[in-house]
Order: sequence, then structure tokens, then C-alpha cells
Amino acid sequence: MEKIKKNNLILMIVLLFICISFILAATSTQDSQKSPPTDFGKSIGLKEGELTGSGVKYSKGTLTFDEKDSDLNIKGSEFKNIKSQSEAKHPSYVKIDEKTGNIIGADFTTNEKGGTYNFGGTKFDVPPNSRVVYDKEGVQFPEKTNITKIEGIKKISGNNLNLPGGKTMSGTLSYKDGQAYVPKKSSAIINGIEIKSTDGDTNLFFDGSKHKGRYVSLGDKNMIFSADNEKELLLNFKEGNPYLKIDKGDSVIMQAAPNSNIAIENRDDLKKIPKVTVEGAFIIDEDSKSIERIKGDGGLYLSNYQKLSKSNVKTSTSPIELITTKGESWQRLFVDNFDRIAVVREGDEGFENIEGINTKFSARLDYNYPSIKNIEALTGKRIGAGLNFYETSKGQQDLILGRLRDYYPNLDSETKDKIKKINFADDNYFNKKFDRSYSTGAFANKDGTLTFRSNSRFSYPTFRHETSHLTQFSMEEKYKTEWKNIAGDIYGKNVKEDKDGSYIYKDDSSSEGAKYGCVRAYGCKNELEDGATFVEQISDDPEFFKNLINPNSKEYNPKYRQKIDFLYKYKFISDKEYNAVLSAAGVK
Amino acid sequence: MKKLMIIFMILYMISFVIAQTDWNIYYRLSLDYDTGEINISSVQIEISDIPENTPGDYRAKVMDYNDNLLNLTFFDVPNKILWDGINPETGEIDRGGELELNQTSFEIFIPYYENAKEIIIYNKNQAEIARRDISEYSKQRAAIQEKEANETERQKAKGNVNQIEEKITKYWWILLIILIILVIILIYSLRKKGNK
Repeated sequence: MEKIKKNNLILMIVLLFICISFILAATSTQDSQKSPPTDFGKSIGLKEGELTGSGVKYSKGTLTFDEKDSDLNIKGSEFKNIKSQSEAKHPSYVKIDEKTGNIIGADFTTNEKGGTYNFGGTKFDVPPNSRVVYDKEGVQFPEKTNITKIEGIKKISGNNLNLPGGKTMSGTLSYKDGQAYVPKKSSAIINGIEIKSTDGDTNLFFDGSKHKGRYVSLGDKNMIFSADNEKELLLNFKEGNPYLKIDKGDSVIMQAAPNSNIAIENRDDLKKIPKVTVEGAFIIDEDSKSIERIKGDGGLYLSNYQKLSKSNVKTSTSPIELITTKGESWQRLFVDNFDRIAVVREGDEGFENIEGINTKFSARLDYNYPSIKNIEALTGKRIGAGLNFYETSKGQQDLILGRLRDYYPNLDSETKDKIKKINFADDNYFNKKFDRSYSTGAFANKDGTLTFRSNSRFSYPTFRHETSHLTQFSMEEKYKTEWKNIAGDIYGKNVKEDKDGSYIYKDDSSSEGAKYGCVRAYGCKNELEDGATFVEQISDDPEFFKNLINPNSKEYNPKYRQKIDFLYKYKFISDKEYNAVLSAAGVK
Repeated sequence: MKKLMIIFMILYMISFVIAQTDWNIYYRLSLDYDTGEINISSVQIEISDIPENTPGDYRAKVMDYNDNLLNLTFFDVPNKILWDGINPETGEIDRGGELELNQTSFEIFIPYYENAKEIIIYNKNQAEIARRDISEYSKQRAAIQEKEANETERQKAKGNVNQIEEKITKYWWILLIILIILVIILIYSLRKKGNK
């Protein structure tokens, strides 16, 4: 019995050896299938070993990758992990100058391993299964190629390339005598900044220092760019750039005028918003607003439309502290993250009356990026329950949170109680959900829900207009009856709808102001809109009623005062707002 | 059983908290309205001041286990909204109107009853349009469930005894054969010893 067991064991060991030998034999067969390296250099007069390869065919300076796992060595530069022509499904080769043996062209696709290659002095790591094309114009790199050194090459192009020094690039970059530049009539995105070189070559530096001529100089945390003597230079800031914080939905475009330069400093370390310093004339588009200094003019001009972009899409701003200098004169502005601009002469904070509210502007980063927790605490509404965002970008959400932080404390407690839910929705969601035209800005619902567009149309007057509808709903018929007693039978009689849906006075379509006891034509539509437009106007501009409620004025109409008293009585407006209107008019 | 204990404890704690404060317990019903139809998408219990419902002709009835009416709440479907349009150039509201939405989601609030079994929703014409079992939140259900659970366990134990009895009755002959074999082995071994 024991003998049988012993025999079985010996048999198994023998079988195991046979299997191992078989596997080893098979492997060595595979290795031996690879053709031995050929020295192609000898035939064209190169030194021994300068041009060798296996699985490669040589013909008139072109080395073709014909076989799987072929490799090539040109003057010490290795080309392996390259797919054969049949695998790559395109001509796969490296071209050399037969006299010098230098590489002058290539077109190949890496296999699943990827590889590190060298064209002259340009070294780069190519990801797996990616195609590299090199011709007399330059090198077209595949996406996410890591370029470790650039030398002896005219042009590089590709998407999301990692440049030496850690900068990223998409587009085309040319080189002359070692100097990188974005050629005329082309553009490149470097480190998240689109450089539009429309009118001339733009030199590129990677030190963040000042240089001469037309250039962009990118440091780690600061940058500077300058136009030349004749033409402007335009940069478009994208998400991920290290200088300005661009969230999804933000838009910032800057243009330096001839002989002007713009410097940007990231101040995250100091917990402050970026500082932008401009010497000379410029245009900066922030969202749909534009800040401009014209050549030869010391003044700053603000516009409510974009000057550099043709897009009319409402976006959001990226906060900056802007310092403009012209000779010895200088000006300082804050563009906050909520699509507002204010002059702040000194210090890190300042106040300006925006939409009737004393609004704080701050250089502090956290003030410009309000936390959801703070807003929840302020409104007593949780995100996703009482406070909802539909299809809004990060930039839009910041804009809304910042504005809500400024608007909400101005409501009295009764009005706050009436707001059950506040929704903010993107244009697409708004149009899809409610099937309303683009101009529709807000909804008020009897259940206490307010819905606004999540862009700069969410303004304080609009907020007050809609909240006043909630107060009207809560009063039900009492509101309509009492308001009508003051206003009289005027609704719908003196106004009509214009072609675009807006309301205009029948007798004078060009008039936009107060008439028939209404603040504007839309107020004469019905008693609900009349009251809401009054609240809106009182909160935004108390001086508006100056002549309308002063008995000594020619424009005096007692209905205005009666309506204001009504709104005060039923707490549509606060003591402060009521007194502001009376004091502006000089009446008690 | 554990689940029932937890529910009991939660209800007890809630009652205790309520007794110490002026808060109310109420059901928060999330409703989806779609062209005349209403679907109750969720029911939650909340403790706070009960929010007001928009007054209207829709009704929500809370019924107990004996089909008695515990509460009747009137509400409206808030699908009529006031919309305002903003002039793109001036930024002022200069247009608008009233709009009736075909679809909308909203919430209603109904006082909590510890013996409530279900909520039934009726439209303006008093036709039933939705119904939701809310017995999972009732104390009565917890008591009934505990009783049921105890009964089930008792039945189970009884069942186990019966099963053993049944098996013995069915397979008595196998036991007999085993016994005979054991006896034979015993006799055989005794004889062997006797012979020695």
C-alpha cells in the first residue's frame, strides 16, 4: 500500500516537471519569434549602433513599425511600446535625415503601455493608445501628454498637455529661439487662461514677471499681461486657472489696450479675493457687466452689457479688487461675487447703496463665498426643504446666497413668516417647467412659495415685489376691497399690453413713470400689481414719491399717500421705509 | 418585537416631549398634483407649530381603525400662480399675469392622531382621489401588532410541540427497528462474554 502511494507521488512530480518545461519552451519560442535587432545606420553612413531596430522596416529614411512589439533606437532615443501599422490602422513610422540621423518626422500610436520618447531635445511621456504626429510644422501631441522638455521644435499642439514646469496647455504654442509664443491669429489655453492672439504674436513667459512688448507672463500665484504699442490683447479666464476663482457659470474676460498692462495676484493665502492692478486703458467684462477705461480718459465707465463677449447669456461674477492707475491718479473698485460693483477707496471693506440697501463690499474671501449653513440659519430654511435650487451652477448659487443674505434681514417678521419656500431655478428649468417666456422673472404662489430665476434678475425690488404678493394673498378679499376703495375704478382701463407683453399707458406709450395713482403702467393692470409695484418702488427709491405726496407740488395726487399709508398700516413696508418716503418728500 | 419596542419608546418619548412643550405633532403630506389627480408621495411626522394650509375646497379625512372620522382638513391645490416678467433693459417688472399649472408639488399639514389608520383625499367634487395607510404611526397599531406578535409566537411554540408529536406518530416503526437492533447487539455481546 505504501509503495503504491510513493509511486503516485513520483508520477505527479514528473508530470509537474513536464508541464513547467512545456511552458518554458513556449515562452522561449515567443521570444525567439521577435526578430533580432538590425543596424540600419551602417548602410547610410552612421556609426555602428546609432540606428538599430527590430520588427522595423527601413526605406529611404523612413523606419516603419511593421511588427507587434517592434522597437527602434535612434542615437540613444528609444521608440518602443508602439503599435504596428496593422494594429494602429494608419502609417506608423519615424522619419530621419539620412545625412545626420536626426528625427525629422513621426507618426505612431502607443500600445497599452504608453511610453517615453525624445524628438531631438523634446522629451515627453505619451499615455497608452495615443497617437503622436510630428512633421516639419511641429508636434501634435495626444491629450494628457506630459512634456518634460521642449527643445529644437517649432510648434506644439494638443489638448490638456502638461508643459515643463507644471503648466497645462490646450491649443497651439510656437517656439522661436527657445521663446514660446502664441502665434498671430491663433489661440491657446494656458493654465486655464485663453490667450487670443488675434492681432500679433504673443510671447509667453512662465515667471510671473514684467517683460517687454506683447506678452503673457504666468507665475504660480500671480500673472501679468501686456499689449503692444498698436493692438489690444484679450484673455478669457476659465475654470481651474490659479489666479481668479472661476466657478461654473462665472465669466471674466480682460483686454489690455495698447501700451497697457494688467497684473493679477491670487491672495488665497491672505484669505482675500484676487487683486487686479491695471496700468492704462482696459476693458474687463464680469458677467454681463463691463468696466472700462478709455485711452486718454481718466474716468471709469460701467456698462450693463458685455463689451468683449457677444454672448448675452446671464452668468455670474468672480470677485476681484480692482485698482486702476493712470499717472498719479488711481481708483479702487470691488467687484463682489454677487454681480455688483462698488467704489471702495480704503480698507478691506466698504458700503454702498445698492437697490436701496446699504450693501457691504468686502475683500474677504469668505464674505464673497457665503456658506449654506449661514444662509440656512438666517432664513430658518433648509437647503432642499424651504430653500431650493434647481439646475443652478455654483456661480449662480453663490450669487443667490450672497444676495439673499443682504435682502432677507430687511423683511419684517410678519413677511418672513409668510414665506414658506423660496425656489431658485436656472433659465432652462424655468422655461421647461413653467413654459414662460425668457423675460419671466418670478412667481408667487398662494401656498407661500416664491420662485425666482437664479441669476442677476434676482434683485431686491423683485424680491420685495413677490413678497408683497404673499401679504396680499394672506389678506384675501380685504386687500382687494380696501385697495380698490383708494385707487378707484382704474384697473385695466388706462393701460394695454405691448407687442412684447409689457404694459404701457394707452394715452402715452412712451411714458414709463407715475400716472393715474400708479407707480408705472404695470401697476395699473390690477390692484395686486399696483400694491406690489408700490412696495418695490418704496424699497428701492423713496425719493420717487417726493412730488407725488407733497401737497405743494404740481404732481401731487392724494391717492399715492393713501396707498403708502395703507401699505404701512398692513406692514407691507417697514417704519424705516415709510419714514424715508415721508422725509424725502418733506411731509409728515 | 424589537421594532415594536422601538416604536413604543419613540411614541412615549414624543408624548413626553409634547407634554413638556406647546408643540404639536402633525403629519406633513407631500402631494403631487397632475391635471386633477393627486398622488401622496410621502408622509412624515413632525413636531412643531403646525403650519397653515392654503384654504380651499379639497379635503383630507383622517380615519381610525373603526372607520370613524378623526379629522377633516380643507386645503387648496396651489396651482394658480402670479407670474411677473422683468424688462431685460430696465430690470423693472413690467408684465405678468395669472397662470394655472397642470402639475405642481405641494405639502399639506394635518394634526396627528395616535389611533389614526388612514388618510383619504377628496377633490372639490368630493370624489376620493387618493388614500394612504398611516397606521405605522399609530399607537393602536403598535398595540395590535404586539398582540399579533405574541399570538404568533405562542402559535409557533405550540406548532413546534405538535410537530414533534406528529413526527413520532409517523415514524414510530423506525424507532422500533433501531431498538430491536440495539437489543440484538446487546444480546450478542452478552453471549460472547458468557462464552469467554
